[in-house]
Amino acid sequence: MTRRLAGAWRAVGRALGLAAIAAGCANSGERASGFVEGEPDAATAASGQFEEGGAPPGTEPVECAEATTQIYVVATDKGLYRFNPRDLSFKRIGTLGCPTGAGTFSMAIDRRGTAWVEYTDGRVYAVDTNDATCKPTSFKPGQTGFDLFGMGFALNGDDPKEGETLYVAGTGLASLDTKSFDLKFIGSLTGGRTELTSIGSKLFGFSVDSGLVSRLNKQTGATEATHRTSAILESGGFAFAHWGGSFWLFTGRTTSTVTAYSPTTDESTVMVDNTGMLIVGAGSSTCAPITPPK
Amino acid sequence: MPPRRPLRLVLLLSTGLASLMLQASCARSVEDTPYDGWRFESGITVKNACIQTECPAPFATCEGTRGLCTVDLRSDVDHCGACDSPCPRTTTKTPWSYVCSEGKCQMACAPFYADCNGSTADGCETSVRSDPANCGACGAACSEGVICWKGACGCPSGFTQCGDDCVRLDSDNQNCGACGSVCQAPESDADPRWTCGPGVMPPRTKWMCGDSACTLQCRPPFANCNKDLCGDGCEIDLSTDRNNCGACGNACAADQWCQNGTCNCPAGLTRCGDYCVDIATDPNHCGGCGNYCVGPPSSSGKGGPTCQGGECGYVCFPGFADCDGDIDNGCEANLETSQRNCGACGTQCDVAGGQPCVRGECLTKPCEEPVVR
Repeated sequence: MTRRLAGAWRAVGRALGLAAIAAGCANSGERASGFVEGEPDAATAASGQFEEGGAPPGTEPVECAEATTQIYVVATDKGLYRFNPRDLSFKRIGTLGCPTGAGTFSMAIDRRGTAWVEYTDGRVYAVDTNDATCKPTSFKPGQTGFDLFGMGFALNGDDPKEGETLYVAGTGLASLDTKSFDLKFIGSLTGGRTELTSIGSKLFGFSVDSGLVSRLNKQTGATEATHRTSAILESGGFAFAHWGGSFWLFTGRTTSTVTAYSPTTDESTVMVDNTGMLIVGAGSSTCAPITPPK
Repeated sequence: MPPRRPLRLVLLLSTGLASLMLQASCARSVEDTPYDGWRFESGITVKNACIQTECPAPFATCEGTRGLCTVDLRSDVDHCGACDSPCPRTTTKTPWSYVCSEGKCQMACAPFYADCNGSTADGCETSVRSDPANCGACGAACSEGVICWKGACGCPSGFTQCGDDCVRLDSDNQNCGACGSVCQAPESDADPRWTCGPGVMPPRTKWMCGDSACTLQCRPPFANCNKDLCGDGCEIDLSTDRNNCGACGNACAADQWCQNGTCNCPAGLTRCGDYCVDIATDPNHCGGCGNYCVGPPSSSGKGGPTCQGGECGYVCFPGFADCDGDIDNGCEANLETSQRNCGACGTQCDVAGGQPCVRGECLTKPCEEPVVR
């Protein structure tokens, strides 16, 4: 079966190669990053070029639609789930259809509902949180110190109109421009493996090795305040998000436990003992509520 | 010479025809890509853009690297800010390394290390993992007598300090209920914790710490579901038993199996070996178990196999294309830097003239004097 598939795809690939060359002139004025696959017909589905991740200008979804106010998680089964902290339910949106056989590693959600997902091959993909469809980005994987990293958005200022920035935590803290995909190193982090989230413009890191949630200086990476949680795990998967005034910590070796930590009361509470899946990425956008629901 | 005229005519005609076809097919190319510099202005063809060979910042052509203008001086640790200007080398034993960002080498400390003296000569010299004087950060001192544990002063809620460590007295076999109290079989046969009789260890049981007490318990992942501990011990493997999956009495549906204490597969997924996969989207099991989609994997950095609706495909990552149509080498052309496929398949820069392709465009500059054709 595999052999047959291989031969068929090779033939299709050759045919498409000719088509691509013929189309070369017509496209020659376009920038490399602007290729659009369009509707996935048979030809492009076989050997196409994906539109770069992120919605094209002018067609971007509005900011802070209802769906962007929730927590999203990705698991090792490549499922994208919406987690409702109110009733602690998980709703499977779909399976990530990214063009890779690698596993999921980390995730962050922007204000327009795009999930930026890093895979274990170091690539970053843009995933639509409505249907889990996926597009590759031009992020260059394997950059020194940032082979794999945690991710999270934070507002640039108190006013959301000032925009938001995607921060990544690898060997230190860096910002990642979601248009140019340039990585800008900010400074060292003192914790171990770190995932990121925010409350408004404040950036927080969660180091699962120590269970520490730290408020990070966005200009230097320095720790400005720490919170001690009981979610400590020396190996396994972990993820981190903020919602409703609490930090939501997902930790586990084969299946994940969900722990809520309230910085107000300094209490860690196990909310879901066994989710039945191993969660490796979580994200809540900067549209998520920052105070407890009434 | 006359006998060669027909051939010459044919050649001219075919060349002209080919040229017309090329012009027609590439009309947009000529208009949109001024890399060859020719433009039609006021009834004449004028060349007002000439080849540029110097790399625009931040790109450079450095010795030992492939291609022209392919080195990004902002982020290349071997050419950081300039060619042959590498960042300092470190070993895996040194708790710091260097990254190149914005053309500058910057030191990054390893987890739980910090540069407290501000000197790059000794790198990140201070461990902030367990130093009470620098706990989690330089100068962050713990109170007198308080330990520094994993980068923070004191122990987290639910943990108790035992020596220099923080432990859970409720579940730590080495510190069960009290520091240093090791959980093990009672020495006295008269100990009431021998629930099945002195010295009797039912199958798949062990002495374990739970609720701060050392008792005879089922060894994970086994459970005593029939409540006959002293008879058949812990008879159920909760990790694999379909009728007791993860917990006694938790039965999986008819089409599910129990894996690591979870009933699999969830709705919509198919079991392929020990994995639950979506055969509609999984390139390794596309349309059915074991049907992997061909082509170089995503680790090639240029493209990757896809599976959409159970049908295999192959996509190129942004900036790459499959110009030779050979699926075996995937998306071999880097449209950002390739002189022969610059911005699109077949768009050639002046290779002989040394014209680089940068960001998908053949580099040009204004001609010193317009050339008229």
